[in-house]
Amino acid sequence: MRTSISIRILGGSTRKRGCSDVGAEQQGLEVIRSANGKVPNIAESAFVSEAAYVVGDVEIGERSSVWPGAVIRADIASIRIGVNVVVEDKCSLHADAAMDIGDNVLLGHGAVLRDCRVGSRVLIGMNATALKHSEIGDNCIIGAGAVIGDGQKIPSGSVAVGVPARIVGPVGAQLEGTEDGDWEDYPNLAQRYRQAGL
Amino acid sequence: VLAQDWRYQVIRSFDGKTPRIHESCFISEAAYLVGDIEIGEHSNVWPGAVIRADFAAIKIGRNVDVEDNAVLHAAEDMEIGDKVIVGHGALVHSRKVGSRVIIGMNATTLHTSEIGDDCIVAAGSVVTEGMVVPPGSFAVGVPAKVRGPVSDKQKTWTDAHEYFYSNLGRQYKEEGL
Repeated sequence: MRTSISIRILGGSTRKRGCSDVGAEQQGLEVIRSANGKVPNIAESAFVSEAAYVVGDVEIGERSSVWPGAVIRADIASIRIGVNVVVEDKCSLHADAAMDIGDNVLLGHGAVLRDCRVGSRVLIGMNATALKHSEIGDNCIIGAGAVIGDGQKIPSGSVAVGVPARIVGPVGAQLEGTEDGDWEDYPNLAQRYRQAGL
Repeated sequence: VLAQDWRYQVIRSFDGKTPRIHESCFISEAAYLVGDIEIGEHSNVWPGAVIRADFAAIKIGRNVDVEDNAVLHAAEDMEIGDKVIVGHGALVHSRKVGSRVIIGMNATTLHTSEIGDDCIVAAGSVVTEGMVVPPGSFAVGVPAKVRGPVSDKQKTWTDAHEYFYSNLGRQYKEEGL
């Protein structure tokens, strides 16, 4: 596990911390931390950027990817992420209650998810927010900037947009081709980042 | 020990492409830049910002400020003009952003959108896929709609920003942040 980071401390000195394993990947900045004795369980084929932060009772499935600046924080409750899930840059996932994200899901840049459940084959737009105890079914699209309210349920097959989010219709052909999680060629990109040690 | 030695700043090459950043720029130690990026003179990138040019290139002009936690990511080549402010937390996926533009805090601009010169995209707005915002427009809302021309008062904002931020960026740079 890559757990090496160089932290700059106020006052101008540096120190290494959390550095244990030795290997080619050690130079990465990636931060994966345990909390309450729970260590993130990340599938071998998943990619977690060196500039992401993953802490606590987190499970990340095969071929999923977590991009720079994303924070996945499972310090109070667990966060389970399925296979072929893309967590784009600057997403925040934090759980007060067990959080579950299905397979073949794309979380757009800056999306914030709090204690919500997300089905499979879902696209969550950039900067969208899903509040506590909300539920998003399978095959859904959530528009960029949308806010899904506390406890709000988005039925399977819906397109929801706006603040607060409202359902504007069924999903059409937009999700075609995402069965294998091939969001914009992300699995391939993630592998190239892994090979580059990023 | 030189300040440079303990900087945490992360600028990464990817696919053989290394960010080309003018020496006058300030790039925060807590920003993350990767890939085919070009940044012009006196532009600044603030803490937490991510500029990710892996699918395509990102070209940023002069005197541009990419504020804290903003994300720039290109699905196809992106070009940003001069004197642009990308507000805190803004997400830019546009094909083109003109000069003297303000992208408000937490605003989002989706794929293939184009924002003309002298525009303001209000905070929290979402510029939808393929939308073209004509020069001099004030765009607001989710989804963004052009509400009218940028006011005379608003036109002064990019100048005022440049005056203040160019000094601030220099100061951060001098202090090794």
